[in-house]
Amino acid sequence: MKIKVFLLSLIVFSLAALPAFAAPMTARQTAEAGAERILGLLSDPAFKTPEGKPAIRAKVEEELLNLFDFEEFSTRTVGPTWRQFTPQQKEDFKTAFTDLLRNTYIDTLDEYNGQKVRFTGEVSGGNGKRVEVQMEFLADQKVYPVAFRMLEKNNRWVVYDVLIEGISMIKNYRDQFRDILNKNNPQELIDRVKVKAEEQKNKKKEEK
Amino acid sequence: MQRLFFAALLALALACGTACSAHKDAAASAEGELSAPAAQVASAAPVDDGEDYGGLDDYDDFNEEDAALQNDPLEGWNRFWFHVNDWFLQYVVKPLHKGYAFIVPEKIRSGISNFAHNVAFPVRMANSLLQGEFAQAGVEFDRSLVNFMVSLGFADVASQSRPLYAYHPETENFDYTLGVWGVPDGPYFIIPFLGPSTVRGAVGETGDGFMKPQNYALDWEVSLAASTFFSFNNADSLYKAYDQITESALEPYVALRNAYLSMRRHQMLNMTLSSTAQDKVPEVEEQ
Repeated sequence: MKIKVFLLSLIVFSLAALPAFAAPMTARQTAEAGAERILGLLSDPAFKTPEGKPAIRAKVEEELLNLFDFEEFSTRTVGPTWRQFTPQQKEDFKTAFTDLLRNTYIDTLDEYNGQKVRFTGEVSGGNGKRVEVQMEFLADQKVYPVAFRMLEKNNRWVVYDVLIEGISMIKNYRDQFRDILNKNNPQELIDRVKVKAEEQKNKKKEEK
Repeated sequence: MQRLFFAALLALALACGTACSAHKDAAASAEGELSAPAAQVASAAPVDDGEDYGGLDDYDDFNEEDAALQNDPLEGWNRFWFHVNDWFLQYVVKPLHKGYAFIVPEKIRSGISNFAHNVAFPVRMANSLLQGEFAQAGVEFDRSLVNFMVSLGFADVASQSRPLYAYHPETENFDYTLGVWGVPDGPYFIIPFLGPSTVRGAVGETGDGFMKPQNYALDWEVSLAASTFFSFNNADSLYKAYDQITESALEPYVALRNAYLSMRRHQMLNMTLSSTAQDKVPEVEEQ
């Protein structure tokens, strides 16, 4: 009897440990699973009600933070000048830039209305270390090409850039930040990002 | 949304074909004056020293492609007109269009938009012929014929059937034709009151103006007024996309330049050879 219990618990424990040893998901699988979970949350009828909204929104934010790597976003939008940032400035910039992105885009989630995402393909680059997962976003009977650029970090694929109709979010911000950093020091850039993040937040409030 | 933006831009551009010759002169003079910013841009171009700064690599960072998005020798001219156009869009076009959209329902506006597209078919057909895309020219003719017969051009019934042959209206302009002929894209260039383009794009729009039958059939005032109205009719898609790009930006000028040039590259409008032209002469690619 004891042996049976021992065997049973062994099986149960090994099953529990299985996911850790399972083959890691590919970039595309990660993106697809993430998109599915997020769209699933947004399709929940409770999201449209004032009571259910905050909880679902918090869950969506958590999923977004899992899928998108804001550290990579920050490093890459600053570019080579990142090395001149002090550790404190790096942290400040990351917080300010994450706020800017959140304040700019989070409210667009409210407009979600059953639009569909279709994954169309993937291209790998950087010796297979980088993968671009391509998809089509269908809204208002129009098709918008969207792509996630992903890299593997701590055994997990994360998104480090988003392209919409060929416009890279990271490159777009990097061009702007380069323009600013050519004339100003890092602290000034951080301050301006903070101001812009605040501006976006207030603007969204005014519209409501 | 951005595609609409640039479709609307092209339409706007068509509207002022006649005015473009003046812009070209301006471009030439601006080119002479503005060599200093060009040097600045060149020195600002990042150098990839191979050092690791937090996961940056060659996949998308600091390659020549990236630098091409900052090539802006006409920056002084462009920045000036960016501010004028921005003011014009926010304080003239936007309020006017909001009033217009309030009075005229969406269905009618979309009908007018279809009509404007169908009326411009000779321009697209002529360009397809000039590019050697005879099948595309045939498709263009057939679609317009169907649309005019069924609805006098106020509907796009042709788009409701599954196409037998791919339809690419976005490449049927003189800008793209020049590209097929091997004319380089030239630097970023903002056309006054019309918006972002490149030097070749501006020349292309002038060329398209010469292909419009209404410019010959009607008095120029009537023709210009009609074209301006057609462009105004679509202005909502233009300013919505414009706002999306510039509102979240710290440097709206740079954000729009990057977005426009990336978009152009994505649609392959910047290509000197069209992809189909390359298919026809594979040996050129191998050399």
